[in-house]
Amino acid sequence: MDSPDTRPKAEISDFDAVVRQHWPRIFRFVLASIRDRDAAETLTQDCFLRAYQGRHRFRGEASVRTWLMQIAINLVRDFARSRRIRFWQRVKDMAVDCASLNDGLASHGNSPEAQAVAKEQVEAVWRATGNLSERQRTVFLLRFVEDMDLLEIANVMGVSEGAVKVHLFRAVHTVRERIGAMR
Amino acid sequence: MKHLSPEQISSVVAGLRIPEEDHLRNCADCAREVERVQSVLTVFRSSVREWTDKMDHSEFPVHEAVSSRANAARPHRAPMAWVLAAAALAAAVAIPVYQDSRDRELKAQAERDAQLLDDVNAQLSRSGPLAMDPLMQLMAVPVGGPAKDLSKAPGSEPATMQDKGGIQ
Repeated sequence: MDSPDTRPKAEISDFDAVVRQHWPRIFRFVLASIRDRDAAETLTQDCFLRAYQGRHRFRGEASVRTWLMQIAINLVRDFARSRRIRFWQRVKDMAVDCASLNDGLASHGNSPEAQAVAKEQVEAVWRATGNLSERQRTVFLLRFVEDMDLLEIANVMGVSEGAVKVHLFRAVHTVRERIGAMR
Repeated sequence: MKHLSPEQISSVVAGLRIPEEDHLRNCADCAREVERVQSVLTVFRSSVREWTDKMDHSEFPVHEAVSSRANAARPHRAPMAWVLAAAALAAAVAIPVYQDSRDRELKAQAERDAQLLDDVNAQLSRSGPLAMDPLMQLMAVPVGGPAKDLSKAPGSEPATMQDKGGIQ
């Protein structure tokens, strides 16, 4: 009987490179999901630590990004379930986060009026995503912040593509209601 | 002309196919609404990305943190293994010693209990108080004859404390 190949796949043989390449994206997703920098750094560390410890189990069937995102989603889910901190239910924290989130809008060179409208809309989206269900928020962030397609989202979340569509539709519909329909 | 419903607009923004796509191509109002929402989401994406990118990762020693935690996780196994092994060894030695000590303790206790019961039985079976034993012995020895065991005389009841009245 052949012994299983315990060597890490080539894609992750240089784990430092994996960390360098994927850290920003994983950190961004985790931070946008839980909205706490310290916790996001810890969870991102945990994500790469778990990946490092389980690198021999990576079969290369999915991309490294998908594999890492799967770990990150599980960590975010566990964190949310632990109820240590319910960030999206705290108005104070939301206000701080919205202020931080809008810092970058001034650099777009828009008029003050356009910036004010954009700021208001970004805050509305931010607040709306805070009120989504965990799955809807995850799908929404993966689609509209991480630019992942529906099939990849389905893979990282371990659900069907149809389920992703349902969650995404509900998330978009909720967000659209919050930012106000023009008609 | 019937415009797209809010649900249909949301579906289009979500990237889902709807049967009314022809209408979307021909209706400026509906197309504008879809573009408006998509634009908001684009700004949202930019804001989130800028926000997280601003958090300078260089100030956070990413690789060192992950490596140190990964390395720290490994040595823990050895001390833990030693602790478990030491505990198992201590248990292997201590349990028989404890068992032996416990057995001896139980045996001694049983002996003490047996002795106590013997003493109680002896006390209950006495024909008189301890202080009267010499007197009772004198009375039991007939003049010119061998000592007679009154308690075993035919037709007589075993001596009890009631006999004390007769002795007096």
